[in-house]
Amino acid sequence: MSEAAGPIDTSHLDPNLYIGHHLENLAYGQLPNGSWGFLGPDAPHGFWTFHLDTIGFSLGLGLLFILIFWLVGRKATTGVPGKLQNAVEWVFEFIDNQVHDSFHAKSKFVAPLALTIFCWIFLFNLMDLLPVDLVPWIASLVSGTPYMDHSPALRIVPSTDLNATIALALTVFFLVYIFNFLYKGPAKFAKEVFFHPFGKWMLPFNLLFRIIEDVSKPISLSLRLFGNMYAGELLFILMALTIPPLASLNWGNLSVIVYPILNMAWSIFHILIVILQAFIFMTLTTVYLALASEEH
Amino acid sequence: MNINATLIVEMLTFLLFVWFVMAVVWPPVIRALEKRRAQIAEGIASAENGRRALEDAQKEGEKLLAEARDKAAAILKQAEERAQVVVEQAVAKSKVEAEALIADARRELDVQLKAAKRDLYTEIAGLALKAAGQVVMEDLNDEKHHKIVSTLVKTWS
Repeated sequence: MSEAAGPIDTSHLDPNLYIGHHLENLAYGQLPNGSWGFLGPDAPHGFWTFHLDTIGFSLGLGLLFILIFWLVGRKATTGVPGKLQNAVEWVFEFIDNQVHDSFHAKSKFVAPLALTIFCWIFLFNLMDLLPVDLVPWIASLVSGTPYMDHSPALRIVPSTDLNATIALALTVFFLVYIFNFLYKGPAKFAKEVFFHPFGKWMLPFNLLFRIIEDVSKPISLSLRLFGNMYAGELLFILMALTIPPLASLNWGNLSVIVYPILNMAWSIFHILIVILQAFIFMTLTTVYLALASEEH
Repeated sequence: MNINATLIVEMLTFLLFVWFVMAVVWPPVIRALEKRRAQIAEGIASAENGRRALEDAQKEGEKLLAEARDKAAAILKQAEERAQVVVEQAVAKSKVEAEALIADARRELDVQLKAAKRDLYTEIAGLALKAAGQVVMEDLNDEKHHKIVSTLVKTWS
């Protein structure tokens, strides 16, 4: 990668830099000198740092999902549905059935929550299927900085940011406790925490088990989603490294077909993961809330 | 891993979205779905009713058709019988008439025969008288007598 050949300079495409750049968030926070601004990869990231790409894309995708569903739902007719309405209704019925299967108490909250989780995470994950360099490249054109050199990092898949997945899992965790108190009441909930599963003489162990159980839920929930999507994204980035430099191309150079084949194979497989992870997150949330609302 | 304030923003965004979906997006669609489900159930039920009604109507129609067929057959049979009776009656009547005609003709024949016979006798009597007159006027011998008789016989025959 040291020699620069032809009109396009590929020498700066150091794999480490390339991968690092793709795994960096567009961070906005307090700079060491006290002022606020974009934080480079070397600047210290304090707690009051905002990943503008994660926030922006998750907000945009959420609004997209809500806008489509809202517009379709507002005009939902009881007659023969149009194609888009049909698709939206299919999602609604799918979610409704899933929720009815696992959540048996009465709630007007769980099904909309499940729908939001499923669609939102699905759209998060779907961003992974866009070519890894496409959106950052467009962003560099818009911002006017040469691509890769000084352009700010941009990660378009919110579910590859732990902040997003933990935010979802943590919210679910809080909701589980709210449901516990709402459906069981503090007394029954306390009884369950202290006297299950081993009876009252093993109270400390019961409590310990309960804490482990409850803490492991949001951790597994968030890390499962994050891990799957992060690994998928990393693989896409690594595959992008197999794209040969434009200058080295000549007739008979078969290295050109390596990337499309790899990328297509992993993309097809990844579509399954995209849907599956959204589905798993939704189903587990429903199950956790069902456990919180039912007495053992 | 850098966990930072993005987490808080994401949680708030998430809650906001869930609230909006619950308040605005979810109810109308589910209502429409429920309503359509009811309509479809109603449609299926009424289709079932219609099908049953059609079946009943078909059965009724078949029954009516069979009845009509039976009736037609009965009418036909009756008509045939009646026709036979009429024919028989006509035959009998015409036989009677023919007999009457024959009797009439015979009677007529008798009358004519009798009239002819009467004429004949009258003529015979005249001839006999004429012959007798000739016999009386002339002296009859055997030969002459015989001649007269043979002449008479010749005129009768």
